[in-house]
Amino acid sequence: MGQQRPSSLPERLQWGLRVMRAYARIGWVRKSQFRWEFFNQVLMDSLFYVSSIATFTMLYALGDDSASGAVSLAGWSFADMKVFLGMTFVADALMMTFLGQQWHFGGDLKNGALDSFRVRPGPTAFLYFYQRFSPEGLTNLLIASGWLVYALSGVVGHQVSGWHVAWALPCAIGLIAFAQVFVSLFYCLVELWLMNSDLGQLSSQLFTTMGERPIDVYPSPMARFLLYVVPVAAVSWFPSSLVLGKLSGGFALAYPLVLVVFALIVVRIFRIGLRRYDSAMG
Amino acid sequence: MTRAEAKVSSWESDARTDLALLVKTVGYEFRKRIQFRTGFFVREVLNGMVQPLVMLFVFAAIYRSASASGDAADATLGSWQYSEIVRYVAGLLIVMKLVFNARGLDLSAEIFEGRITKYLTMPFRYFVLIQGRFVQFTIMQVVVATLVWCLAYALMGDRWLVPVSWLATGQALTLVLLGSYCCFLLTVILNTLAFWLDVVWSLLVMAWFVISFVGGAIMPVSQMPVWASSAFSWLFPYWMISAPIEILMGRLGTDAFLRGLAIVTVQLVLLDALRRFTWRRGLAHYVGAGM
Repeated sequence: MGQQRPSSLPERLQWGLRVMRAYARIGWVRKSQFRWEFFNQVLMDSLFYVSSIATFTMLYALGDDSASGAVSLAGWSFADMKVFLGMTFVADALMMTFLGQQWHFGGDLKNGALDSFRVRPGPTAFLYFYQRFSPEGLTNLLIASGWLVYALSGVVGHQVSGWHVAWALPCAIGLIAFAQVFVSLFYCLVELWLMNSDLGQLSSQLFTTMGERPIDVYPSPMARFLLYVVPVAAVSWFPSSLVLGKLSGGFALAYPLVLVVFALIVVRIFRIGLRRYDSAMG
Repeated sequence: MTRAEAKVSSWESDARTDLALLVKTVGYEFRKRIQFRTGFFVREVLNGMVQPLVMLFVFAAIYRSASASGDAADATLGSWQYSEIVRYVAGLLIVMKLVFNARGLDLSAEIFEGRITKYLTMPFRYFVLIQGRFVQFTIMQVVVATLVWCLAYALMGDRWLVPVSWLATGQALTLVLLGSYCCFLLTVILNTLAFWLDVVWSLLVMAWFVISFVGGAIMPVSQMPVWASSAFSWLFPYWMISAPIEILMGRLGTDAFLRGLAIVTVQLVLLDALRRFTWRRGLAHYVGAGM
């Protein structure tokens, strides 16, 4: 701009090199954007894992100075808690991998962005919530699974047998995936009636945070609420207890049926709520 | 049907349509207002209360197991009695309301979408507009925090966190607000990275994780291992969250306040210099149409 065109050969070469360097920089920035974001999101969830592990490591370490010499968290030893955290991380990574769209539900509802999903030949909720597959979440799922395997290695042979873990772990992971889907859908229900109120986000934040601690720490009515009404206990507490052999056989068999009933109710209410959708609700 | 009857019928039909539309509109307007107020209540009053309250249950369980009698009130862990932890959590509920959070700023979106161009042509500094958001946030949150404190004090009395003196209140408020300004500057810096990056929200979330942890939003920093509490006491988040609560409780005094004031001031100046640098470099990079 405002400069004379290069006339001599060396100047032209220099000019060409400058342009090529600018193109290279733009290309580098363009192509590295998604890699950088990928790295950031993996790092972000890893920080969540590290801060959770560090918090509980420090809390249990407090017991070294206590009168009793060691502390437990409502019956959960540090080894148990590592497994519990592993299940929580796996549940979080599953949500991030498949159900990240739930964070945008309130906004999409307000902006009428559900139109294209309602006219497609398939269940609206399925098509909408699964649209945002996240490779970053999948990477975090691998990291979370790595921690879970490490945590389980600390209890296998001491508290539970390898055979027990071999059948209980796949059941637990399947249950987490099932429960996570319908609990996430449950958080979105309130937005259908009280749109733009942030209540969906708040309920998600509230119950997810509560579910990230063993329900045994809460008073009994609250624990029952988290088991049967908003079953976030199914996302982390129940699977961990199942793998650690903390549950009675009858309860372990019956509780998944409770989840099925919860799922049916949530889907039914979601369908009723979706009838209120009229493309321009904001 | 005569012409007159048809006219009346048409008029009745129009009136019914208008009435139905009016009723629907009134309902819609009511819904909009209620939703807005609910949203305001959720965002300004309930926000930031979940994590501390959940941690209180965790602490109760830990203290119960550490106590020989099984009563949480009898145990002391890391120089903290359970009653002090309860008051610490009460302090967290108030202090965290005053700390600036990333939701208060959408600078990165303005950069991505090229909307800052119009501000750059105006005869004032754009940063003043952003500072206006911080001041508005602070005034609003001081009012909300005061109301929440009064309500909780009316309900709980002395079991709630009651400052040991007016001096301690002033010292704590000074540290929290200066720390909040540091948070604001950090948020601005991370947002200006939008000049180079496509997405910055993950950086903001990461920053918040670190601030919460090293600041003591999960557990008191002085209850952490010595190496951690010594290291974190050199960072502004500690003087923004954990230390002010301890000052309000009377666990820390004026000497700690002065040390904190010095540390936070130095970091505030450094963050502002970094904010100026990234803004200047970013603008040199900016082409008016985002990435």
